Amino acid sequence: MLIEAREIRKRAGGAAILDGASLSVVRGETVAVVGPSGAGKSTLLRCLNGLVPFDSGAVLVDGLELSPELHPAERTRRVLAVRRRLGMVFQEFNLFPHLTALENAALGPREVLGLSAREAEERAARYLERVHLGDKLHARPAELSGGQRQRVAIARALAMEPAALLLDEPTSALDPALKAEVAAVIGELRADGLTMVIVTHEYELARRTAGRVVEMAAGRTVRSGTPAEILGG
Amino acid sequence: MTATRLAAVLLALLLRALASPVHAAPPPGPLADGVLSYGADAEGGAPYVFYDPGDPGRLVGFEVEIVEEIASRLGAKPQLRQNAWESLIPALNRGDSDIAVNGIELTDGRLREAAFTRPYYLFQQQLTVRADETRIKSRRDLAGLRVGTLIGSLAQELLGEVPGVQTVTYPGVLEPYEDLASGRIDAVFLDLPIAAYYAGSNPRLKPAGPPEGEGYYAIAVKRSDPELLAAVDGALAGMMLDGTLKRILERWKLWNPAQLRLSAPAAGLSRTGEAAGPGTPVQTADGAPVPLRKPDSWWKYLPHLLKGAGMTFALSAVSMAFAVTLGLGIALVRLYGGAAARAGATAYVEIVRGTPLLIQLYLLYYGLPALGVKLPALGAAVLGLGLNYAAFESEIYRAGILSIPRGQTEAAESLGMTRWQTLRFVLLPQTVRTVLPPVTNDFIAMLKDSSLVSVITVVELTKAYSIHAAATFSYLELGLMSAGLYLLMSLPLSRLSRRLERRARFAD
Repeated sequence: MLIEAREIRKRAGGAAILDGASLSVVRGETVAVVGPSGAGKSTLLRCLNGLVPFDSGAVLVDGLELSPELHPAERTRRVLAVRRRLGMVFQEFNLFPHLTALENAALGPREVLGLSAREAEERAARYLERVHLGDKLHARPAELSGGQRQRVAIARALAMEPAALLLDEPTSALDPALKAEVAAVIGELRADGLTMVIVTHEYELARRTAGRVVEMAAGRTVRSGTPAEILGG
Repeated sequence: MTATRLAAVLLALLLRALASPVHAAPPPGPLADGVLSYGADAEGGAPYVFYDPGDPGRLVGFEVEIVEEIASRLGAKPQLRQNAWESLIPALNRGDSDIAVNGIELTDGRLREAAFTRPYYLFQQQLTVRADETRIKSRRDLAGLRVGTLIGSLAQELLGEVPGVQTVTYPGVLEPYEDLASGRIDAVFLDLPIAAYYAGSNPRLKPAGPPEGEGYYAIAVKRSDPELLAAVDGALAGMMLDGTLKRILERWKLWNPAQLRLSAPAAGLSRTGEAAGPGTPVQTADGAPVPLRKPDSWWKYLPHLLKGAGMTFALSAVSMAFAVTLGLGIALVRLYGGAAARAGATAYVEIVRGTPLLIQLYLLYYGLPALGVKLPALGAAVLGLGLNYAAFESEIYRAGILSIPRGQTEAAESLGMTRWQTLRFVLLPQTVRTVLPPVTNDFIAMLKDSSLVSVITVVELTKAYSIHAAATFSYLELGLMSAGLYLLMSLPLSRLSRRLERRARFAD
């Protein structure tokens, strides 16, 4: 088991956002998390890499446990270790606007992994080519289309060479034509055997990219099965 | 890279300004450094201490000649320490100068604050009115009227004894006569040498009644410096005996027989006017004032104004570098610090923003010595401007950092960056773009606010302007020149600010 969430509960402003959500992902698996808005999908995803703290339950990533009982200093240490194993891709891309595509993808390897500037850029260029952006290395985010931006964001996450990728509504902010271009890249990554957790409300993306689908409702994971079982034909 | 080098140069300047005291530690004996520094206000300083209208680099005045003579007798070189007249004694006591000489009248209050030599001039007060004035013949007619005088002067005290007078105080001596001529006030009551010089040459003004009241000018020395007091007093006594003082006063048309009473063995130091009883009447020799000379070329003033502008720019640049650095620290503490640090930083911003810069400067310069901290003038100026602006800059940074979308922090954190790395590589580079235009605007504002530091003896562009304008009555010509110099400094900055703004807009 690479990623496991056990009975995660989180309240905010008096309302339960997560109410005992659980999730298991084995290495090499691509899991789509679906469900209506407000079901807690994105929050659950953010609990996995410590972006959002939770009130009870536990997250295990590659044997590292995150839980509310941890001492703050120890929690910080473990969260950083977990984040090295989990890359993340956001609905709104969140590229760094002051950096080029290459610099966006090289920043983490250089500053977090400690690679030399040249090694980091070589690696960043390699992953940008993998998402078919070899010709846009020196473009700034403002000069790229939405689909290109999301692919830079994927390359940025991949350049950290994580054990798994977390994708939060990766195509929801895109026009239909651009959705397809990003979905195609995600499909290629699955074919390469990358472990992924994809939060989406778009069944088409889930069908095309996921080996398994988990359905959430009202802060809980309610069903798990093949895309055909959960989403229908 | 040039920005980094500029910052380094500015920092070096700042450190030097803070480290090297304007005034070295007190020498073992009096004037061991070979310099007799004297505090005086050359702004509107005629005929006492002022810049020669015909040669703006040269200090002239009867007191300048007296100090030159004393200094030469003590084997030292005289050096002016410019300061606002009402601050001369506090500045003397905090060690800004060895002595203070500037028509400082002996009063009970001043005798408590500092030690004084024997008097070198016996003066009377003169009431001046407009040429068409008929109501006012003497001080007794002043009830209910507005009367101008110099702030902190003996004349102000005497006016306070006349019932019903509305005293209007001025920081200089030129302004009350201007206001009188233009009808803003009804009369001016000031020392006769001042009245003779500034009103005597103005056909719209006339004296009302004879001079009245007597007072004495004497040289102030720190109470803790009896050796210097004895030396200066001895030199002055010698000048009275051999006639040097008389020759100086005659040259300035200030001599009259009453002055002989000062060299009499039992010269009384009684304070004031009528109470002192009738003595030999004090008059300028022929009532004719030393004429005002109009300068033949305004360009002669340019080097002096440029020097002031240089001080304005250097002071503003160093202070702004300091403010920007400290402001960033304050902003970061307010955003990321612990509860106590956050509260402290917030209190700092509120207190500094909510009190006048002028009071902050006075506190730093004249207030801190009471606690044993004596800052040199330039150090206090940089510190005052920097500490003040840091509060404003910190709010600009804070707003800038807060305006960056939350997703940027999430993206940086999900890459495994620490809080510091997130700040350094993601948040600050984006903040700099948004804050550069408002920070540049504040720099322009600082160029102008820096004129306030003239209250703590720093002579920058505005002070250089007012000193030379008052010496020549050329407020218009020198004013336009000075305004032009301010524009020359601020316009390029405005352009830079607009360019940066455009760049920031295109960033995303």
